[in-house]
Amino acid sequence: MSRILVLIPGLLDPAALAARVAEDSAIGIENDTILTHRNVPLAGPSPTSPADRVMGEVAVLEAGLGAEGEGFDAVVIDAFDDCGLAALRSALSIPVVGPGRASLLYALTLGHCFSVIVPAAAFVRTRAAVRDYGLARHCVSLPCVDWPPEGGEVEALVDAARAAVADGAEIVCWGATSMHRATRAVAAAIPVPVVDPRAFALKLAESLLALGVTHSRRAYPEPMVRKDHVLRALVGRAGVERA
Amino acid sequence: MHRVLVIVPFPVDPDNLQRRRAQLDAVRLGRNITFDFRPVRVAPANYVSAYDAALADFGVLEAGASAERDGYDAVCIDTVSDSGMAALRSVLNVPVIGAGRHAMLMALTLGDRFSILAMWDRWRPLYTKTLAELDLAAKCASIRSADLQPNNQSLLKGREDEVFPVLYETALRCVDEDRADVIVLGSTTMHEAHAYLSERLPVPVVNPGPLTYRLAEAAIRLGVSHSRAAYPAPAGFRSQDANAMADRAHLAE
Repeated sequence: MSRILVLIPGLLDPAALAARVAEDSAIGIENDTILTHRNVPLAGPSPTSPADRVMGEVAVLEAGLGAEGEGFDAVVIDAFDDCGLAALRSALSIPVVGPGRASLLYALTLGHCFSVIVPAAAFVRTRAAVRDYGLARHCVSLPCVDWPPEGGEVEALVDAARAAVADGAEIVCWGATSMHRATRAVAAAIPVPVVDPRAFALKLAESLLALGVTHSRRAYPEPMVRKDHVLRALVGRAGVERA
Repeated sequence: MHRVLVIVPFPVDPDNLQRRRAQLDAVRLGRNITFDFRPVRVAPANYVSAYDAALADFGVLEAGASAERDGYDAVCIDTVSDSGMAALRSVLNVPVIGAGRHAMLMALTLGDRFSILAMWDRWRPLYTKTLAELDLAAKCASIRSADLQPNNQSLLKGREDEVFPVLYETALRCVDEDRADVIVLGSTTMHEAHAYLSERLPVPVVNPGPLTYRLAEAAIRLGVSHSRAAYPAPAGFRSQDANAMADRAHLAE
């Protein structure tokens, strides 16, 4: 049995959380994988500025740093911007998977170049991330959508995906994990594959556990001194214990 | 039940085929999925030149071109050279998983740079070709070889004491001198050394063959396959023509 903690930056309402959970079986999560979804309230969904990012990193790090002690085998961060990924990897030995960079690398297993459909508010951040990953040459375009739209999620994403294909993209990748619901419909409407970052991150976490592999400690060194009590105080967690 | 075809890039006898199948023991696989290992009928003696690559590409293409018709849901190619992968992707709609590029790209989900650990330096062109296709040479910290003769039939059997420590020392240089975050085994024929290396090295070691099995399974479950825009279908290729060519070549061997 594999227990995977799924951290969701922001506060998903029950309907949105239920939609995520419903998608899990559709993407072939294995029968003996147990997913535990946990909101991270102080990390707003899709932080748009560096200051938001700093707040989000602290919140996600605090939310996940006890995962090993709680008996989880892996952590998945349900946010395309991989907020808190590097920090959690430095704190944990169990696999920590973020959908952003991983799904772009997965896209490159399917073709030579991709486009990322991006919520308009996330354009600047996503462009910087693609560049930081060393994948700017592989990125054809970043078509923007108002997200979430007033109505017609699928139509908005189909239009953006068609624009990406017209730009020359060989693969389309969602730039927000909340776009997951539209994957099948959009994939049926365009002639290139659609990568759902959330779905891939979950399958990658399962695969890393099945292969007995985790992230590199050389790439993600541990802190010399942990200050978990400070992190917990920052987010106002009750029952703080000093290290 | 999902079925995956694993193409072994050399003609092998049953014992040596079993050595390839042993890679299944290195990974936990989901339920309702089976893996059939099929050797090619046409192959070079080894993979050290473009001449070899031409034969290798043909052999893998011929072995896998009927995979969809045969009822397979995905194809894995048991070579880090990714020989025949592009050709098979152009004739098949089901996922075709090449061990080389998938190992390199998934290594980058674990760290920022990887090194490729090879048995001998004559394999270097296989890796540089894929790195160029991926345009990710900057992500490869190094390609180091152990200067050991590979054997694509018996793999590392009987040579563990000779080979494993040398591979370990070579991989450690990748980490300490080249600053690799991740090691990628440079051949599926090296899989028998994976456990030894993983236990001793301070970085993750990607085992390409078993990784392809998980990625094949993931692709099937996610309903995702390669991009037809990247791998356009051929105008006049017929798998039966390739089969007839292989029949003639088999007689000529």
